[in-house]
Amino acid sequence: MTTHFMNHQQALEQHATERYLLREMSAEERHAFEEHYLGCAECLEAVTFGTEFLEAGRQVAREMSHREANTVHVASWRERLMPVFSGWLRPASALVFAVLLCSVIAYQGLQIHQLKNEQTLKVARPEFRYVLTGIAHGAREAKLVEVTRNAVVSLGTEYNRSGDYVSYRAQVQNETGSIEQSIDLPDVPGDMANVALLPGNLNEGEYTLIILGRTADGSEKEVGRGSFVLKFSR
Amino acid sequence: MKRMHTKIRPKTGIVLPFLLREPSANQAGSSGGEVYCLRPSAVDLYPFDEAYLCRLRDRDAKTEDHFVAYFNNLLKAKLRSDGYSESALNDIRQETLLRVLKAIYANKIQNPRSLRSFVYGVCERVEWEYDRGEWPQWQDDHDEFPDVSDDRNPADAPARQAELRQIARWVLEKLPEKDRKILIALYLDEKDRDEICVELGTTRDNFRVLLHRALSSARKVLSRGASS
Repeated sequence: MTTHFMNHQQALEQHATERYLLREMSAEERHAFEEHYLGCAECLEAVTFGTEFLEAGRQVAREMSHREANTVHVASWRERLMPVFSGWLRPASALVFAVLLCSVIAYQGLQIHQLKNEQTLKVARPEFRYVLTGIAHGAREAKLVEVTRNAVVSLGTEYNRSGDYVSYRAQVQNETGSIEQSIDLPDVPGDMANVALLPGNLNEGEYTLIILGRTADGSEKEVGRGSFVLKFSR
Repeated sequence: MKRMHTKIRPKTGIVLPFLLREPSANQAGSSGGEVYCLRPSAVDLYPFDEAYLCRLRDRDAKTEDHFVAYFNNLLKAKLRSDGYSESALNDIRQETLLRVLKAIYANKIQNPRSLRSFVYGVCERVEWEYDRGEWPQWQDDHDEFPDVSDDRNPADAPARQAELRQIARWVLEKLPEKDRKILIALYLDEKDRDEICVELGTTRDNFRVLLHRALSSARKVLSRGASS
């Protein structure tokens, strides 16, 4: 049998605690990690705390799934349609229903017309993509973003993801530091945050895109930034 | 089949090392000059020595309580990682502790500092026997041993468990819906991991990342609570 050894650095690099708790280690790896953590205060605490926390999580997950199962009752098509059909068969209800149906048809026609117009406008909106200089490269240089007012601008900037943060938020600040826009970022792996901006709502000038990491206790810390100068072309 | 727990004496003041708060005067237990402190960590790197083994051989109640609580937690972590169900885990854990105590009483432990490794070695032997179906032959005549069941909790253990459940719920509720579904699926452990990946459009690496974040968040909440 091959004997494996693991030191603390290797345990950290290989995310040994999480893999051990998730039972994703081979027998040899598990043995090596056990030998390590029985003599390492930090890993010993991490493993036993993780086990305790997983146990608590298991109970909560069970409660949550029971609650969902009890509250969400999906009615069958028969259950949903039968009361409606029985109501329609009455003469007064039938008249009211006919009037309502005519109104709905007229309203739908109007909506379709409006949507067609909007769609035409959307298709006409030009889209621009810019990558701003991130913190790692100084973040001093402001990128010139020259677009039409009706454009859609996609801004990308580097940021530092870390296990300390449970979510991330992007803010667009103007020269005076006032927040013009704020949006929660989707949880997508990678170190590039992409934010879609409608510049028509902004004035020409210099702006900063700031990425904030939010910790479990709700506090926020800057984890990325990039600047841009907005200019409208005709 | 659940094994019988033998109890040789009424429970005395029980002191466990894995409670959240720092010890107050009435929480710390002392035994023959030795004080078992209540620490915020789950299991610490307790320095086992010959004096500790002597106290166990002398049937010192507080030392026995410490021994059982300490290794119950440690063995739970090991046996969960080895993939045993709750009832198998309890059987293996009890048999392991009884065999270790037997070795201690027979003065067979050469190096007290390596007690943790010794316990793991015995546990692996017991696991092997269990997997071979030999567990019905395990002897049940453990009357001279202390109670090694997991139901002798200290008075504030339910409070600790409730607190952990509250934090686990808080951590789950703070997660985006997709991540929450993944973590719940992992916790419930009813489906194959690859099936979860396909169903929820994720990767196995993401399980690890999510668990890491959940543990970090919980730890932060706990340390904040302990320091306040």
